[in-house]
Amino acid sequence: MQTAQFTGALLGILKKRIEEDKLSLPILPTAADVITHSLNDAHTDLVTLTNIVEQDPVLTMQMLRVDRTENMARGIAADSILQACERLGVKKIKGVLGEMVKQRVFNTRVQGANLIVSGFCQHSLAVALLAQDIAGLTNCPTPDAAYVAGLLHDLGSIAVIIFLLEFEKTLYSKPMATKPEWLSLEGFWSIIKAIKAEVSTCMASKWPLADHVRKAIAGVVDYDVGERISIMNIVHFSNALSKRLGIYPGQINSEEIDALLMIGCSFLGLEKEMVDRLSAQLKHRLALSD
Amino acid sequence: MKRVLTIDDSRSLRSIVKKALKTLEEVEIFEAEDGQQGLAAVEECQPDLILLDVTMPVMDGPATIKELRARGSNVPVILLTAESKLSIIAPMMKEGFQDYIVKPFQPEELVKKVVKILQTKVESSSKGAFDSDIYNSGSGELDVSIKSDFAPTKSWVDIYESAVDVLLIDDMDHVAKRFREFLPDHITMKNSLEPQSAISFCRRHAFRVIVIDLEMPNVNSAALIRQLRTIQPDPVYVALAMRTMKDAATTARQQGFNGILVKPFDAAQIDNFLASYFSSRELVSVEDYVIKIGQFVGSTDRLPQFFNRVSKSTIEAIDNIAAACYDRVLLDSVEVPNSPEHVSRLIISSVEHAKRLGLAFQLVTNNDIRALLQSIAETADLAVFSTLEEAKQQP
Repeated sequence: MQTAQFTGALLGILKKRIEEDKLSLPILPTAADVITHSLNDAHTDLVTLTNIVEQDPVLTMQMLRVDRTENMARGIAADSILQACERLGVKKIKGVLGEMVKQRVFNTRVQGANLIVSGFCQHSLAVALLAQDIAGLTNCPTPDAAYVAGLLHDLGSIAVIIFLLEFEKTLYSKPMATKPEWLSLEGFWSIIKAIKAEVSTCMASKWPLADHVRKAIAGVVDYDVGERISIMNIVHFSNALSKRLGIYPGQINSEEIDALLMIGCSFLGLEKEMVDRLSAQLKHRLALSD
Repeated sequence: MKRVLTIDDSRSLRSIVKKALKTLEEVEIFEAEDGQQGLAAVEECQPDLILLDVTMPVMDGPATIKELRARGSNVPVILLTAESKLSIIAPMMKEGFQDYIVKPFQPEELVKKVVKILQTKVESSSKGAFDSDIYNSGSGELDVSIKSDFAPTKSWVDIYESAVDVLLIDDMDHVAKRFREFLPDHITMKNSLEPQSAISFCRRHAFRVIVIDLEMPNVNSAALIRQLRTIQPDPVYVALAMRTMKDAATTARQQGFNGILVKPFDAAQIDNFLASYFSSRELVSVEDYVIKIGQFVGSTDRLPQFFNRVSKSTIEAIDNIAAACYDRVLLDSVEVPNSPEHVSRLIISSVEHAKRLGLAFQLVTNNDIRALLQSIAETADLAVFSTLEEAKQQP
């Protein structure tokens, strides 16, 4: 397969779908099962539905987009997932989830590729939880907004990998005399790395989202020196910490991560002992939520 | 004496560093204005720590640390710089530096990080600050830091400004006032109406018990206890809830609290709280040879437990007074509750213990107790006074 050509074509399709607001991302089977169970339960309330949504970046993204569309007249994007869900109401949320549950992430034949999606979702949740706590510790006024930004910061990568899986599903569902050679796991990763930045930038500029969410999706390399205690810097630090803890599906550059952590501790006024405790708490919380 | 070398092209910065580190005893400060001078200074003064700027003329930070390591030096380095670009800082990790401080900085951050490095001798310069078990998921890698023989003196910066017994976090001011009324005078307390100031308090004061209202508007108490535990893992965390809150104890447990208090407060509950989280020693305070018994707070059915704890603490205090070679004990029981049976038993046991240790015994008490003691054979001849001052004046 001509990977470079394919990559370029894939990027073009993705960007077009984003620009036309036609990008629809399927959800993880585990998320789908939880949703199905809750939709069948008559006692499911707003709190339960919000808890489900805020564990998953794809669900959260969709809910925020629907909220923004429904509440355009208000002109103010929801600061938190709870706020968005409160504005939409139980009936609307159930409707949106009911549609989403029909599309599950394709189970690829490529060993390990499905784990990339769940790995990114786990990593996103870790960054969200860390960002929320660090925002509280650093007196950043909006910990819930930091949570949302953390949860969605890798949406570009998630979109690329899910789209690749959908492409595979379409390709191999067609009757063919000979099936074309598909990507290896390394191929998946090389495509993600090649186009995630552009996809993220496109999402950030085209989708009607709150400022801090758009910035988080677009991503940064360096800390913002102009505003040390900011959602962006908090998410940037949380991302590095999550990677350092091994909660990331891909490979990491240890030197870069350690440098980011040291710089971030100084920017955010965090002591190493506090970071150690945050890390221990995070591992415990993620274990509980599994 | 520990030696700290500052390598920075800014004279004012070197001056600020010198001023900040002046608070530390046994630390000598050396200076250099670029990497080249810095390397010469390293040969000359053999520093225990280098504070290194990144952007400098003649020889910048990256080149300096590279040359330093190439010469075989493992001296710890803290980067002290306005430079925060990953592309510049990350490559320096290869050469090994122990920490980073962004300019402009708070002197407290500089002092804390310098103290930490000087207290810990780093064996391998390649070890990063985040290289420990918790980050390596059980890889078995040990922390190579070992404690040096450099111990902080009293003039070193303490982590906390003060130790306080209780922090109460509740959005209603009156709750704190009411809680304070129930606590004995010797229990110190701070209160906060919202999370931000609570977090700020926890950064500055060490608390023994932190009480958090579960039902503050727009506050996630689970997140708050987590954040506070990150700053202070040692205190006991107690949830505060309305009596009518459904499943309050379960919620508190799930959120990681050690116990629960309900509003409105009552004496029995507060007494349990004090008994659970504060040492019985605090019921009894000692100054020189004077033992003062503190107030009793609670319902009368808890008097036996109170006197039991006071009795044990009083005996311990008498032992300490004897060990300090005082020749007498003065027991101030003015604030003791009026329970004749318990009081007489307490005083008799204290007198007998003091006698065994060869200590003279004096008592300060009210007239009712004085009359009671005069009617008991073991205490009829006891030296009893109405005030502390009167007792102290006696030889």
